[in-house]
Amino acid sequence: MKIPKLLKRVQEYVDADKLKQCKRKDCMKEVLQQLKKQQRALKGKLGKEKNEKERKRIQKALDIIYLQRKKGLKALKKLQKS
Amino acid sequence: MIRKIVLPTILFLLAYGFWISPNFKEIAAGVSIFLFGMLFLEEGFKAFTGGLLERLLRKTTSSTWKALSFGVVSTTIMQSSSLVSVITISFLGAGLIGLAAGIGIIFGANLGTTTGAWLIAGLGLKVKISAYAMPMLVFGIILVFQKSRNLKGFGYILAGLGFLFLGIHHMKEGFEAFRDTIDLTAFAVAGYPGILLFTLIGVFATVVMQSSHATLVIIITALAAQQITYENALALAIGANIGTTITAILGSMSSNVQGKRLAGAHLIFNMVTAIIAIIFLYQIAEGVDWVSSVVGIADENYTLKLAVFHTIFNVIGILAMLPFINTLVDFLMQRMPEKIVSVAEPKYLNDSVIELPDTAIEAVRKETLHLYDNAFAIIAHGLSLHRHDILSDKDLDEVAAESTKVMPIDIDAEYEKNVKGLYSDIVNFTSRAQSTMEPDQADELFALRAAGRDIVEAIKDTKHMHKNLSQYIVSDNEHIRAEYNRIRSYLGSVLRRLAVVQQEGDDPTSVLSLDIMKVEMEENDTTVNGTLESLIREESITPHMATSLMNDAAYAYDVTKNLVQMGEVLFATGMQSMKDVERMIALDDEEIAELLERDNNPL
Repeated sequence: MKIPKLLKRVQEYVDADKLKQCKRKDCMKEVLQQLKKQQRALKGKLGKEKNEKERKRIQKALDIIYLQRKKGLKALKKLQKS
Repeated sequence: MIRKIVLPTILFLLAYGFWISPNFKEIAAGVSIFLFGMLFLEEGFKAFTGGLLERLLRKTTSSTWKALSFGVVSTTIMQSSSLVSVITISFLGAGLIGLAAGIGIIFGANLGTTTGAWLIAGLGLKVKISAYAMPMLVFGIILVFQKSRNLKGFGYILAGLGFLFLGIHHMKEGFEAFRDTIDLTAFAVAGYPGILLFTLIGVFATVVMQSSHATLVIIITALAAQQITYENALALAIGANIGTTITAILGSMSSNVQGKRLAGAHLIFNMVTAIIAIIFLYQIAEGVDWVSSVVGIADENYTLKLAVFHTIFNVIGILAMLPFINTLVDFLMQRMPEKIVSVAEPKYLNDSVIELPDTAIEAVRKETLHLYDNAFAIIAHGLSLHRHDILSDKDLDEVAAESTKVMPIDIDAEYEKNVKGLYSDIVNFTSRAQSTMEPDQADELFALRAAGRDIVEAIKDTKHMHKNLSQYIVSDNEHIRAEYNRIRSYLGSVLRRLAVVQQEGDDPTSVLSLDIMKVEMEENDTTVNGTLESLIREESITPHMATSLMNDAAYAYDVTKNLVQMGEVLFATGMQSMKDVERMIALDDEEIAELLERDNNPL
């Protein structure tokens, strides 16, 4: 590890706020990935589903995940900037 | 009575000792500085318990070997088996790890603590240790005054090590000067009486100082100054091992039965190890000579040989006890049975966890889950539904339609008996625990307290609904019966979904799936109101029934809202950052309203 990078790491560790931001960033990425996986799975399920009531339910879940991901991506950008 | 006499006697003896011997004063001051260093070290490590140590501990539950390794490594790093055992007891008390894992850690901690003897014997006596102590103290104290929690923690550790070294230095100097005036070896007792006597002295010294490390330092420095015989030093080391369990026993006093069991295991382990070591002392000493010759330790280097002995006899203890770990668990469970507590008594809140913020938060979370379990039964029975039906795969519409018998339940009495006391204990505990917390941790505690309030509110809403519900689910009017059954089935499905989310706690997106319930809750509310209009218009129900239904639909909405709010906080597990992120992403009321608006008016 080069010295500037090492110093940055140390600085991050010492600065509790920064450390928290970093952890949040990692967690946000993980949650967004999971949501994307769920979204794909639900889309696949929707394609095969014939029952109208069930289709509606899946669509609703997809709408919610879409909004959650949108919100999460916006928050991630903010975290990356700060 | 004895307690009242012991302290003044010790103080008097010390004062007398200081008066007659300046060297004794130096040794005692050295011990005090050493113990002060231990306190600093513990303080420093406590600053880091807010996450790392707890996360590591959580992962050591899977196997005995992992638990054992964790005990060895953490005690080696922290140089305090007492701190590791106190933390383990609090984890066990908070229900975060099992007894077998806890015992594994304690066994490991016993081995880890032997590295202290190596450090003192190998490094402490050869190098001019005070030369390192001074800069450590200066840097450490500067860091202690810093704002950052981590820097402060480092500072405490550095200063703690500095004090440890300084303490060792003074003890060494004291014993060396002592050698010129008094020869303590004159008091040496040979053979087994000597072994037993010095073992008892070792136990007593460690109980008084509450640190086997401090006793070991005294033994090693005294041995280096040839003030005690090698044989008596071995016996003292055995005594120190027994005495160290006192800290664990004291730590377990304020813990629940789990903590007490662990302290029991600690005592049994150290006693068994000590008995083996005493019986086979001469054989083990021969083993030490052999190991010493293999690793190249000189015959006269008794201090390092003592370190070898300390390690060997703890390894023997582990090897002897490890195969019986499950027997030990069974024995302790049998001898110290869990007090059958009423469902209304707290299971996880105890004073041993209050000083470790993250553990205290986890204990409050678990206790609030316990509160929810009690509330679940009240709400289910208030809806005249069986818990097993709610938690099954059965179609809840059918269950509600078929179960037409009203369950007799006095919600007020149940609330008083199973909820109120527990809730008060949680509120009391959180108020006490938050005083030692960082703002973020205190926020989490507040969120948990709010979750408790949501649970209580949900019960109260159920109570309001209960009277009408009991009347209308057996009504002759099929329309009102159907409407109330719909409310029952809907709330049953809410409880069922919450149970699923609770089970999937490790998946970070499971809490986010509660957003679906928020949307359905709003949809359900508007549907009920729509249906109501037509029922009134068609005169299928009386105006009196209509107002009841309207009010109870509002109560059902509130029950759902409170329970979903509760679930968002209570079912989120893992790191604080993950919980923060989940809360950042979860949709708020406005976003839910927008989504519903879009669904109702598609472009």
